[in-house]
Amino acid sequence: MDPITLCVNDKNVCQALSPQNQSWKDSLSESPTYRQSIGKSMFPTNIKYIFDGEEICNKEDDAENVIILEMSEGGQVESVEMISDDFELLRFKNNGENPLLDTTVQGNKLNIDLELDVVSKFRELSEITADLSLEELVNVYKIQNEQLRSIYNSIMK
Amino acid sequence: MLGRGSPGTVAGDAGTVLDARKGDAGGVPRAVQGGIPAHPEFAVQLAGLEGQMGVLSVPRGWGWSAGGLPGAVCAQGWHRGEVDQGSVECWCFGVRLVSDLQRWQDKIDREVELLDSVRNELSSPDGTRDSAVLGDYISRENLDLLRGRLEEIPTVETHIANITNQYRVMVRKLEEKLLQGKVRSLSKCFDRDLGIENEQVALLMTEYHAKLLLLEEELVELLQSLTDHFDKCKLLLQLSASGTESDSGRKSTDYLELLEVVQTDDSQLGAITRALCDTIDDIDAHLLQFQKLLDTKTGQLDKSLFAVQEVILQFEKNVEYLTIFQDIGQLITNFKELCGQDIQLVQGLVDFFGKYRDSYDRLLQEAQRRRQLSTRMQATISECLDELQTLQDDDFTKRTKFLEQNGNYLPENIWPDQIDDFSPLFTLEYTIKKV
Repeated sequence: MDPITLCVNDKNVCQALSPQNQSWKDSLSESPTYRQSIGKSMFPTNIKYIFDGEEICNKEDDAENVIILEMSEGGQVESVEMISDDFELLRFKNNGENPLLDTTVQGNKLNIDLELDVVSKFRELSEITADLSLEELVNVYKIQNEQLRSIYNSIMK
Repeated sequence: MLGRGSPGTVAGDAGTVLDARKGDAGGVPRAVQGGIPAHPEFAVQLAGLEGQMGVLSVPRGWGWSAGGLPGAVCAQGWHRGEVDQGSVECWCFGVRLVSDLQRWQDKIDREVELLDSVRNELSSPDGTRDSAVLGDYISRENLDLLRGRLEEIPTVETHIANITNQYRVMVRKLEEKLLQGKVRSLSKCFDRDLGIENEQVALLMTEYHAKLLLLEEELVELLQSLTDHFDKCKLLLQLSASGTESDSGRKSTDYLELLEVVQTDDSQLGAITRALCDTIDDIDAHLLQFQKLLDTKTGQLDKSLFAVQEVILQFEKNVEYLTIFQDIGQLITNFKELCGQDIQLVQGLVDFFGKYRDSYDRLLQEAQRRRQLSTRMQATISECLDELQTLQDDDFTKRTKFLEQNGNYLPENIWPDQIDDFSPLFTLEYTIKKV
């Protein structure tokens, strides 16, 4: 079994604005906290693990995205970095039980349930925003600005 | 669209609008200070919001051609978009609202004029006092409501033209200065200085990197040979020590072979040390070069990041502007709603006044009916009175005759107070209201 369960949410506003995603579009007029909880979720399956110190042996390996996890001795995820041509990481959350805190977990087996909020490349919006109200449009820009700010801050860290 | 067919067409020249504002303290346009009788607070609020947009002052001579509206605010955002009718609706009062206001103001004016022209026949039927008109009995409070709104509209439209301008300036600035300017040049600079195509970046990533790796290997090799030499010398020393102990004078072949190797190596020691020093110098020089180039690139990166920061700040500022536009839009929507409510109120009044006139007509009929009834009642009473009088006269004659024939023979107290009483049997009191 894979030691890591991975869920990636694309928070790009385009996902919200695509015609088949009415509920997310409705959320544009909702509060920012509610907005944060939604996105297009993906569950990457073809995961290859490379551990610290290991040489990347297979040169032909064409990994699409690289996720770097920094873990504490106790198995907690301390930081996440992402190297990708298509996505930028906004924030991460580990939903797994912490084996050190939770004694009911058998042994000291790692249980990492990682949720990544990412954003795909910004796209031209004029087509899909044509029938938005001013309020919704302002919210679209607010979301994008928050994302830009977040990416910028993570670069500057 | 805006202002067409409405009083006081919107100023086509942005300069005039802004000049008016510049001339006043506190950023309140003259038109507002001039005072609007009905609802000045709206314009003041609007002006306040416009004040926040002050940064976006319109360059002189940059005119706004009538016909366009900030539909793009609703529709396109950064993108310069086509004005679509739906969003225009929410910004512009439109000809309809103005004509509705006008129509209902006219209607109520006509209605009041009618009421003022009808004399109240019931107020002074004999015409002795100054007779009142129907209009005297209504409250004059809300009759000029819509006129007030209509007077306010040119000011509001001026404000709308003003913010429309500001919006256009914002979009233009965004498009030209930020997107075509800053963002494009930032992206160009980044590609040029830090992109993978950049020669220096390629130098850092490949050539310098490879060179340093090579030098590292060289260094390792030299150090390796030095430590090897050291190990051999140590071994030689051991062999020499053990040789002297076991069989003195006779050197083992191992010892002799090693000695030869060590002697050859030793002769090269100077050259190797020199090579080592050279390599170290080489590495130092390369590292310095590498560091210098890296510093340049880091500097360029910092500059780019600073520019990115600025662009993000600009984006955030523009969203703030948009929220101000949103507030203004809300104000205008509220104003429209208020106008709608006022129209409804006036519609109610017009309806009421019409019914008032109808009911007044029916009141006159009712008064007439009551008058006729009163007359009929009077006639009935007169008839009745005549008949009673006839009976009374007859009664009087009969009493007189009775007393003449029998009065002398009847004791007075046999029917006290009645025998010689000549008062009439009936009394009739009546009132009939004069209508």
